[in-house]
Amino acid sequence: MSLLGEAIRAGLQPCTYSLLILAVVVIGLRAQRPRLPALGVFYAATTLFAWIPFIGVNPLLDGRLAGTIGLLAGMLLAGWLTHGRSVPAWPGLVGVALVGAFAGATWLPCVGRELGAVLTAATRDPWPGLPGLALYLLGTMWVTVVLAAIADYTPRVPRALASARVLNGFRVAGAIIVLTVATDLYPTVLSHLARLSSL
Amino acid sequence: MPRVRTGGRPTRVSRLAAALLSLLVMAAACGDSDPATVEPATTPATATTGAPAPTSTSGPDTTTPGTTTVATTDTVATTTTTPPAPVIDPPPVLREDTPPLVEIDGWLASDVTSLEELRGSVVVVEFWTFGCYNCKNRIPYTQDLYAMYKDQGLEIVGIHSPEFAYEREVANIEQAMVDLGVTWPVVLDTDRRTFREWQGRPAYWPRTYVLDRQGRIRFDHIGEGAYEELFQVVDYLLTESA
Repeated sequence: MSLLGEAIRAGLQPCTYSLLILAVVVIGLRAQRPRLPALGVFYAATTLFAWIPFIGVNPLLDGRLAGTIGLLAGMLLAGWLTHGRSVPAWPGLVGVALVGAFAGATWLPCVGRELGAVLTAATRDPWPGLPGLALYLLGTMWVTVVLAAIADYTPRVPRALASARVLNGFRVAGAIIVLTVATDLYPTVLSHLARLSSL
Repeated sequence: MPRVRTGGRPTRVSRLAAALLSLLVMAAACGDSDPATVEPATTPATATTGAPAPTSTSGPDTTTPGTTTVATTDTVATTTTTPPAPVIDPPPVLREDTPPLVEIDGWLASDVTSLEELRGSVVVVEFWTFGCYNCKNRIPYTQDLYAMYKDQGLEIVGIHSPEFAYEREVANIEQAMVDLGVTWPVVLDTDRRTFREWQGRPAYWPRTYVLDRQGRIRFDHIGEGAYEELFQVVDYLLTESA
């Protein structure tokens, strides 16, 4: 199976839900701002922070304290308090990037054959491993891309997603995630999600 | 003033949908039918030695999440007619020494109590935990490897590094070894100190290393797969200084 094929399969597995949920929440918090570009920022940050341990850099955000602060800051910047309406574009995208970085730093993948080969190669020579990892993560996020595309381009959906009720739902979801990180439950949740996977 | 997307442009939606569908179709076309069953250890074994190929009676069960059909350790000898074995390059030395076993809680199914006692043998070291799906998927291949090369002096050591509380219980590990057909020695790395010592950050289950007769790491692979390469490396190292 190709790397992209394995990634697309993984995109439906619970081990990818952490990326999916974080992306949906942080993009959802941006209310009526375009979602696909923000998802691109999220994806880039996720890829970078999933990869940097291979060059010997500690991503920090996988720790409890730094993770909580980083995630909280990301959510706030992305529009947690303001529903994204009054947040200027760039700080909002910085918030998305922070949440994406957290997602990458804490990612617990299903290590199938193709990803295993990429990770193994990255341990020996990190730079050639980056494109493979980027391609894999791109494949895993196809569900998110579809959701963001629907949200951006389907008539009436953008307005519905910007309703107070929906935005409050995103805010609550974001708060729950931050709480699980602060209480150190998050790694356990990730482990359970990985165990529910069958890739 | 934030930009507001109001939608209402079906042509863009159609194009986007078409692009996504194309991507999915391309990815599917690149794939094979069943990764868990198409890469048994037959190729490397016959390719490198001309020896009988191990034939797992069953591969890992990919249809039921969380369960794995246990392959038997029985192998059926078949006369190979495969082409001459390709000559592989000597596996590079990835590390000059064997990392230590740090604060382990003992060994199961073993006559030895340290990796130093196995110096002089080719040793496959596999980090695993019995509840891990990808670890269980590797086991049939490890069984085949053991069955094929045990008589030539191959040693396998499983380092059990638990993730959840129930995986820390020795009784559960012993039962899992029986259920999964793990017949090789297993190190109890209850607090995952050896797991971190060997792998650093990030660390993964499963992860497979091969040590040569001098205790140097000559093979390292994360996750499933690379079975062909594993068999080739083991075969090479067994003959390298025999």
